[in-house]
Amino acid sequence: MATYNSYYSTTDTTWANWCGDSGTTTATDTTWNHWCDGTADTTNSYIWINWCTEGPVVQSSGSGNTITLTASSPRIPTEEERRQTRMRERAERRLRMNRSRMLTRQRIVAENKALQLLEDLIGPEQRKVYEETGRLFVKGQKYDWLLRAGGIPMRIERDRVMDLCIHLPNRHSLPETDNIIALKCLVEADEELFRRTGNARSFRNRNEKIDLQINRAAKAA
Amino acid sequence: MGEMAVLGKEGDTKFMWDPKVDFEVDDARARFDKYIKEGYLAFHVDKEGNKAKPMKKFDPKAGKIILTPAPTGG
Repeated sequence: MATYNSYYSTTDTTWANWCGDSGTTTATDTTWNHWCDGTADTTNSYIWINWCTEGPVVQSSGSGNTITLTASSPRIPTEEERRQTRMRERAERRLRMNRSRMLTRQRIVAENKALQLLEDLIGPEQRKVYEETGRLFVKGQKYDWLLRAGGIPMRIERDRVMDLCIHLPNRHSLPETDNIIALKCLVEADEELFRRTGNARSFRNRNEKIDLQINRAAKAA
Repeated sequence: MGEMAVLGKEGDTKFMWDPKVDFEVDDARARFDKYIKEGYLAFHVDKEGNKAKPMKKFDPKAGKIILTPAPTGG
């Protein structure tokens, strides 16, 4: 049980807001009247109904400048309310799953379109290798490059390779293969701009695994 | 027929035009200029496996054009 008095409650933020920050919290305030003068006027009020149905049941007694609030334990939802909550949650879950499936389908369709466009550029043999390995060998004016789906391009040198971080700005919202197409076009058309745009990462020595990737992709090119 | 493929979220969007039909060429040129203004890069490509070439101006006889957002460093 708690007892509130309008005079000392003016320092309370909530109360101050209710009273319009005026500091005047006399019983003549409309809000105060509603809250203090019994529930007869406020039982139909939206705020009152929400307070009574959503949270603990609040009962008031007293009037004028002093009001006593008694909060009981939280109300337990009825079986019907629980059933409706379950149904609503189930419907929301279904909606989320459908939305997710639809997005997945759209991504697959978009990726297939991108693969078709890539095939127009490189032919069916090289596409097959790309689909199997996720690697595309591209010859620039100065260097050979290995473009990697979901990864960053690799500049191929005699004994070592260098990773160059470059990609489309909105890469993750586009089909992965569109990123590869864009990089392939830029390497071929303007390798200097490609090198300037990308951020160079560390050099790595070529090893058997890297050689295997390079050779397979280069053979198909 | 000329063909312009613009890379986007739903895969590429294709625009086609007949180089002999003026209004189709004008429409394709307007689209090309719009994307270039937005910062896209244009490449002239072919099916013979030749290297892509950069394009600054629309050429109705280019055959196939790919427009991509400009890549950025990661």
